[in-house]
Amino acid sequence: MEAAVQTDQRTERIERILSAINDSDLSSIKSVVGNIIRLINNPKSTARDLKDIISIDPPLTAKILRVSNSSFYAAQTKIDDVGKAIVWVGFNTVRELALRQKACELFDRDEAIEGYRRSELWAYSVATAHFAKMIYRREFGKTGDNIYSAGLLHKIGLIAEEQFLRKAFTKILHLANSKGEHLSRIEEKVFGFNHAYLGREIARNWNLPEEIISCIAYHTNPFEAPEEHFEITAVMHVAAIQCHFAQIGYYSATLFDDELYTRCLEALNLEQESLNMIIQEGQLEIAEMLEKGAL
Amino acid sequence: MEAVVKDDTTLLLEKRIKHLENELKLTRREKDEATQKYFEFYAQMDNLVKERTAELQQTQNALEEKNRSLEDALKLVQNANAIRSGFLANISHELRTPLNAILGFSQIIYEEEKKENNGPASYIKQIIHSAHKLTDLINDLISLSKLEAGQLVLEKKEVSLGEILNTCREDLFKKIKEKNIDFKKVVPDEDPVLLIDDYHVRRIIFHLVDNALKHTTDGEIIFESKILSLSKEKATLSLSIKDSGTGIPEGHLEKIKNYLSNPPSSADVSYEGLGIGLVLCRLIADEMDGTLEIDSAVGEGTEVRLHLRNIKVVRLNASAEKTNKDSDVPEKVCRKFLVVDDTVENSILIQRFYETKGYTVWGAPSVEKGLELAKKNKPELILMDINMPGKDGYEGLRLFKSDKALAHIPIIAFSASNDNRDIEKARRAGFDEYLLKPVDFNTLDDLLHQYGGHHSEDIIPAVTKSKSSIDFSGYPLLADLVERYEQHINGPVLSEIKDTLIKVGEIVFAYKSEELAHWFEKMSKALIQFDMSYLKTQFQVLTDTYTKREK
Repeated sequence: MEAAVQTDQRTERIERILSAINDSDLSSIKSVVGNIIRLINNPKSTARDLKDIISIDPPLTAKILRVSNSSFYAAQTKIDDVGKAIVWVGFNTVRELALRQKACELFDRDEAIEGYRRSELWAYSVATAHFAKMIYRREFGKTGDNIYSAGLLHKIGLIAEEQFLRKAFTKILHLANSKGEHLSRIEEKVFGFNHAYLGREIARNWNLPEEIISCIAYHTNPFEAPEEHFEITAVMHVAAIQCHFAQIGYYSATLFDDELYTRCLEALNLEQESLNMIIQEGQLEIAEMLEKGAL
Repeated sequence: MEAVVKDDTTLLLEKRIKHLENELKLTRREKDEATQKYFEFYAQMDNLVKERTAELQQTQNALEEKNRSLEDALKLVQNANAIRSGFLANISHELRTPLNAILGFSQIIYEEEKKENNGPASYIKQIIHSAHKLTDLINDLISLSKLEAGQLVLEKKEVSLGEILNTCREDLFKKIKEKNIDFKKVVPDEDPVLLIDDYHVRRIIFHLVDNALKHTTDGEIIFESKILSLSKEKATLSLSIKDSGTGIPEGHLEKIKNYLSNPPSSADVSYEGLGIGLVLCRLIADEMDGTLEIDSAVGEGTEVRLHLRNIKVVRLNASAEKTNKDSDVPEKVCRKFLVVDDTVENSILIQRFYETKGYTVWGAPSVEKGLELAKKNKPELILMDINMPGKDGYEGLRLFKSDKALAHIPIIAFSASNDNRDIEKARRAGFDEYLLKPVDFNTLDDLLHQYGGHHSEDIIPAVTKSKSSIDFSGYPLLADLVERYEQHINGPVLSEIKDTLIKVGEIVFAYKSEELAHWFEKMSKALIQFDMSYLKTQFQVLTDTYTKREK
């Protein structure tokens, strides 16, 4: 009985957050990000579809053109049109770029709360996405399109908490910092759900593919994910831990669960040395992108 | 078989190779997909280009259609213009014929009334004056319609600059006198012989001076001509007419300036408020590769400048040869002449005018009648109408010239057409001169003097001005002024020449010689008409006579 009341409260709370998101600036992110992800998952999509999606959003177009003209992509001609960007920089790259630039808007307005910074969360999300994609490609020989999108968005629940449950969020951070307890568990105590669960609800509301919803929902515990999504979710989890190792962090409180991590590595048949090789290269790539203005 | 034990490094390397193989495999696949996408993208772009091209083609077709209809409209307008021009040329021809009679008979009445000192003489003079103005207006209208239709042919002649500048219209001079205006003329020292359409240059000068006169009641008008550059081949002239009159209001001036500086092709220029004179000047100037400029300030006056470029130079100096040509032309007047014209009024008019002066004039309404009269009476000159029913003027010319007894008689074409092509045609056909209707008796007088006692083979055509030359050695009193004569040859100043002529007049009066009096009258007329070349020539003859005598 008591549990039922709690569930009702939780649902109500989440629904309030969702409608607040839909009324906020984040809704433009919802449509563009949703469209790009659908485009990625549609094998029949064309370069023109991508061009059309991006062209609707002038600030996004400007950002993409600026990044396309950065020295990282070393275009041989001035890129002044999304069509040209697709031809010169590449279809997949522009797709990724668009997604990254749009998702970046989630993390606008930098502000420090109890050791938490949006900009650091953003750096962490980009790195997670990048590492996850690399691991997925190199170790499993699979294209990392969805895993990249999932990496960028997997902390969306945290963003929502911070934006729409500001007071409680500050309290949770304070508790996590002072008690050294795992953030998810404190969230569950205070809200009745954690940020992964909230992220899942947002992702569902945004009509994202199931694979990405699973990644977001179970990135704190891949073993709870549906079997068909275990691999991708576990890779996400492992990639996030690599960020933790490399101290590309968003938050000083520990999220690391050593036992869970070891189980994931075993289940995925991954070795730390081989991961280290990938992450080393990945870090270099990220550093170059930052230096040359591609991020 | 010994199992190979791999160390950590080898294992790591193998891992690395596996990673790179995966990356390569995926990159290849993505590259293929991307290539596929590019092709699709280009195909779409290609379709887009095709669509746009089709749209453009449609637009172009529509434009071409519009162009065609515009061209049709243009043709209609051009046709209408041509019809209008033709109409104008015709109507002006028709207008000139009655004007001929009005002008002629008025002149007769005027001569008669003047003898009897009757009052109406001054009225008739007005009629004559107006008729002259009407003639000018018709000529200008024809020129205008030809210029607009692009049919005006410039008739370039060898003529000295002095000759152009010195021929100023008598009526203009009268107006200058009436209005108490100080007219100053500045003429350059050089006097080159140019190949130029002097008639039209004179028309421009006439209109510009006429405009200056219209807007100046008293004050001064300065007519200044400058040679801006002169070489053996080309000359550039600048003629400026500056008045101290009322000036042109700014708005209107702007309009005139716009009109003068616009390219000639802009057909929609409004002539409104410009006056036929200025429009004509501008169009003629265009035709001659010249430009008109205007400056004006209200209350201070107006200056109009005509620049003529690239005028062909025939000789650098005119005066040297001229004196020889003009001297020793015997003063003998042709007293018997025949007029062949189907418009009987024309013959009667000339008969009436000259018979009172002791001439014998026959009139013939047809070529046949003319031949008959000529054979019987042996006239010294024949005026031949060009447009006649039956045998026309050209046929008449052929018949007269083929008759041995009549072949020597000079024949002057007598026509109302002032089209240069007609005039040229008449000259080529063998007419000795071309006399324009309505007849100007002064011109005809000159022709009668010129052809007096001459046979056609002796005629130097195109010299219509009669030049008298008398032996001044019989009048030694005139020798006292020899220094003044020399001065006038080298640097002619109008007011000084006037003074000289007053002194000459006294001497002439003292001699009581008819020959000398006639000469003096001509000199005075030349002064009024600014005929500097005539004056210079005469002063040269005077100088030569007296300096030789002293030696």
